[in-house]
Amino acid sequence: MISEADISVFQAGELIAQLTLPSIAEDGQNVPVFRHEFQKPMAGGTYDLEIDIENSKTIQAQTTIPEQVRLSDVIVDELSRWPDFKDRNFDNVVIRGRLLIDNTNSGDHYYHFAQAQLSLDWYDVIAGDTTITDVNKDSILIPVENIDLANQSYTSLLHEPGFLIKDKEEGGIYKVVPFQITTRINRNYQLLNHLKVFIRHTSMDYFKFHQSVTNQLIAKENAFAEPVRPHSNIKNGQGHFSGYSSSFYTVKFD
Amino acid sequence: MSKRIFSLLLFCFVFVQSYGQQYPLLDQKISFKSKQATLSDLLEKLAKVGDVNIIFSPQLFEKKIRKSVDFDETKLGEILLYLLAEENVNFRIIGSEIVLFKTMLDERYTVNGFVLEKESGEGIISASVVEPFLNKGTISNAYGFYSLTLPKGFHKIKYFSFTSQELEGFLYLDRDTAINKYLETTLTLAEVVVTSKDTAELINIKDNSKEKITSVDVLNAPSLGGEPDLIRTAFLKPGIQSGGDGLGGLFVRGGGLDQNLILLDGVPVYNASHIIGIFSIFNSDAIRSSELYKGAIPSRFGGRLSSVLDVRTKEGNEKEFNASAGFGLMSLKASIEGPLKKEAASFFISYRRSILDLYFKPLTTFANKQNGIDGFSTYLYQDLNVKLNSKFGNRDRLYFSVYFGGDKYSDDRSWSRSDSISTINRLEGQRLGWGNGIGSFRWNHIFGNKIFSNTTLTFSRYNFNSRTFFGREEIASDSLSLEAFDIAQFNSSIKNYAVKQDFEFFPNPNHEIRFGLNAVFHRFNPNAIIINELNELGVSYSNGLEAELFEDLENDLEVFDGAIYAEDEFKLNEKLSGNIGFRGTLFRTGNSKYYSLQPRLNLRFSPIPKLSLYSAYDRLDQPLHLLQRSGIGLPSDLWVPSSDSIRPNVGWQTVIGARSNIFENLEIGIETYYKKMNNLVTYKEGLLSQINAENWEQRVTIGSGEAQGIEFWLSKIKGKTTWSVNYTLAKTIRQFDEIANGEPYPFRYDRRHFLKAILYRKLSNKWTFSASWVFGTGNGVTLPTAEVTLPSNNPEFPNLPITVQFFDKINDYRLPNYHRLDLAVNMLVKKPNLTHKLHFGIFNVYNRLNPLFVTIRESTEEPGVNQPQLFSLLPFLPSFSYAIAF
Repeated sequence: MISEADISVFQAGELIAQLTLPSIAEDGQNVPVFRHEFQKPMAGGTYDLEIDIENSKTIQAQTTIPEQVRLSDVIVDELSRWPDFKDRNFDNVVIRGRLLIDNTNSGDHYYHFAQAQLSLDWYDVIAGDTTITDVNKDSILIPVENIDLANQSYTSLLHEPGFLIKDKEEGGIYKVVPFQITTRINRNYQLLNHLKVFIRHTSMDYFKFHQSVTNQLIAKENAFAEPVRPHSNIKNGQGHFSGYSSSFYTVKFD
Repeated sequence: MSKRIFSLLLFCFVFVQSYGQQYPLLDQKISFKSKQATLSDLLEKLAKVGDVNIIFSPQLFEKKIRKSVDFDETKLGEILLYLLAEENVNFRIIGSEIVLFKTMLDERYTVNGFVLEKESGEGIISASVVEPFLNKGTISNAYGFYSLTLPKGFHKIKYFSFTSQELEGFLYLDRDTAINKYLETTLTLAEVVVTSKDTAELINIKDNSKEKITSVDVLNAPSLGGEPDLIRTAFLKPGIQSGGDGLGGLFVRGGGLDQNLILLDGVPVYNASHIIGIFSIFNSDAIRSSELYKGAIPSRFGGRLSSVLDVRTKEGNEKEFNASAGFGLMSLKASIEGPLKKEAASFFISYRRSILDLYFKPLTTFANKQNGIDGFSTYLYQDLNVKLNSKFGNRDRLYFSVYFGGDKYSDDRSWSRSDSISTINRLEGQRLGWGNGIGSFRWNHIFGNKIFSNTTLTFSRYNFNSRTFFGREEIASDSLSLEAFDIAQFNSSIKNYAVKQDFEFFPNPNHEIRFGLNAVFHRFNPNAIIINELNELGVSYSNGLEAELFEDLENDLEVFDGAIYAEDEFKLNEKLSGNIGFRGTLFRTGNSKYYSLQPRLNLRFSPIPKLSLYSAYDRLDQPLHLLQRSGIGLPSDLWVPSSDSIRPNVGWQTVIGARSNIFENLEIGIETYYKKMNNLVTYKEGLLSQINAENWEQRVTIGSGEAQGIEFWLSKIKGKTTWSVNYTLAKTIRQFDEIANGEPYPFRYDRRHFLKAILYRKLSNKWTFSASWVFGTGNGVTLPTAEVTLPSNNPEFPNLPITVQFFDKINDYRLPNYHRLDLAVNMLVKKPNLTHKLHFGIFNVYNRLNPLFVTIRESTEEPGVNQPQLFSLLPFLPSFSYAIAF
């Protein structure tokens, strides 16, 4: 376990963050987790990481933050709603829809489609936001589910909400991504008419790391399966140094 | 008309006379010795000692050979053949006189026919037919047919095989002659393996890189649960290993699980295992013979990279009805065979059924009840072999055979829970099933005396299905109810329809030419179905995937696989022989056609008698791939064909070796091999999610492999005690572009050392004892070098931290060394019309807990510290079985 290291982050060769203190957990014990709330990375920016550890080779990594993804449309195909069996104050809601990604750039693109919100109208969020509804005080935004399990472009994640998308450049323009969100809402809200989706345009390393971690978790269930090695883009180390740009899109439906 | 009848009668008389006749003159035993005498002197002395007239002219002997001889109670005929062999001189008997004559090179005749079991009339595979004085011989084919062409004159012909007693006799050959020879089997004991020392080298000389596994080997070897098993017996041979302790999976010389061509009566079998490989589908009661080619694979075989396991089953006794029945701790068995028409047509039916459900059902019922659950698990495997055959004259025979077998597992559980709000009824279960169905129709025909033809139509099917279901019913106090139903189903099947035409041509004793062609149509159907339904108060919701995946069921993949081949088993001279051939293949899939030309060469050199040095090269391709979710060969693993983007596997292997039985009753050998495999296919690292026929190509990566090794063996092959010890030093690696950053890594079954020993001892006329001990390097495993625990961001598991494991290299760690001792005692009591067989055995005598796999778990002694934890499957297990035959 490494609990002391000099960690530096550079943007375009310029030092923008540095952490030299030992990592300390809340209970006062050393843990191999270093945190630094430095400025958020910029879309399109290229960042370098250097970690110096005594008697070890310098750990290095580089990543470029992708530009925000452009969404052409979000189409809601189906909405089902029925009373919650256990708590009659709530209804279960399932929405199925399609996300249209406008991708005119060449090359491979990677996305993380994680979360959504449901609203009565644009300002009144009724599901997916703890401050307005009391659906679940611990909840975060509603996780989005992958319903095209057999499609190798999509990877459902076990350790993160949502699923990963690898753009295959189909037709060069639109990537149509079917999805589903499932939540509960207060029965008193009779009208749903806004869906807000959040999507991250990720670097390849982000995508591959999270995909490999999910695959590792699946493989661990089978004692005979070969273990899966997490993807790494770290020189002289393991793990991932990567990032993403978030976008959101709101659609009104009847 | 009368002339034709007379000719026929005369022919029949001569025909019977030529090989039904005894020659007392030649059978009389004589002792005499002489030093450096000419042939004329020796013959005169022989005539005098034997009190027989031998008429010859000294001009017959061109070579003027002088010989020293010392014959002790040797047959006169053998002495004559020995003396005359080098002079191209033979003899005939006229009255009571022996008249010598010069043999003409172009005056040669063929003796052909079938070598058959005396008891049943079934053909004996790989029986030797030898003229020892001319050192000419041949081996019977898969139907017992042989053809041997020799000069005119008297010959001594020996017939023998590994499992039968030797027959020999004198034959006067002055026309093409058909002889069917019936040999008595020595079925029960390991005592007699090679029955004639002077012909031993002829048995071994063609066996480079090949292991013969006889039914005697299988029946006498220590077994698991009293269930003799062909593939488990094969694991005792050098270069052959299983997937794990107790589990099957055949791995030959560093090859993969899917690289073995397993043939049941010539028809490919795609999954030859029961209970995840613990037993094979080959019912030991039905096995007639089996051969495993590890290298030097003849041209007539193709389609897999590493090995060929050619298993032949019994045809049925054409002389009398026999039946047998037996039971052990694992299964019940019964078989019946007999003539449909005496000595012309016969049948064989054999059935085996596991009795594991007798244990599983009460045990799981009891265990479930302890937890307030109703239900139980059952497991069943079964095999049915049916064969019919009929002769039509001396030249034609028809065969029809089918095999059906498979495994079924089911687990059903249901329970209810009630509280003040509601009552919950739950039902859940799982079904697993897999099996093979095989059918074949054959026509054997003999053209002339030298060409054997085999025409075959075959059908083979393997299917796997799994269904997991879950049902939940909730009834609330206010009568509101909810029903949920969930099914996940996975089906896959592979079928093939094939037509084959094979010819065997025996132009002379120095050449056995085989040629033929085959065409196979494969149909693949890999699919998955997922159905979710939730109903409440009339509100229904069904998963849209259902429709999509049902559509996929229609998407069969159809491919064509064709091949032509030719090979010549040749003998250039007394020292140099071999097999040369080629195989040309066409594989059509999608919009692509793949051609290959595969040369095969096997050269043998015998500088001195009983020593064979050999080298072989063979090139092979494999257009079918098994996508494995694990390394052990689960029945759910998916067979897929090469496609437009995935080319067939190609590989080549070379072997160099030496084998000898130069020491009395001992065989010693050494063989080295190097194998290269390209275009190998495997899942990309970790892509374990659902696959189907539409997307499998995107989920695999292409790579290569290498295997090399050296095998030694030493066997005592004759006597009351026989034994064999073998050692293998081996290494095998794999390299895939998208695994381990493209770096080569050890194959999971890369096991550096293997030492195997087996002993058979005949204790009395009734009892035999056998023991086997195996030692091997542990399997390679990949263990994490670091773990990092991350907080979960998944709202479904908010309090469940995720532990991510990091690894340095694949299969860089080793499981502990594997070793195991098995013992068995077999009793055989033969009474008129009744035979009892009793088997007692102990598997894993000293209870070595050989690990099957390893996981990393938190130490119970040191919380917070993770440690490897080993899991074993098969501890000390006694076994018992009993069978009766009548």
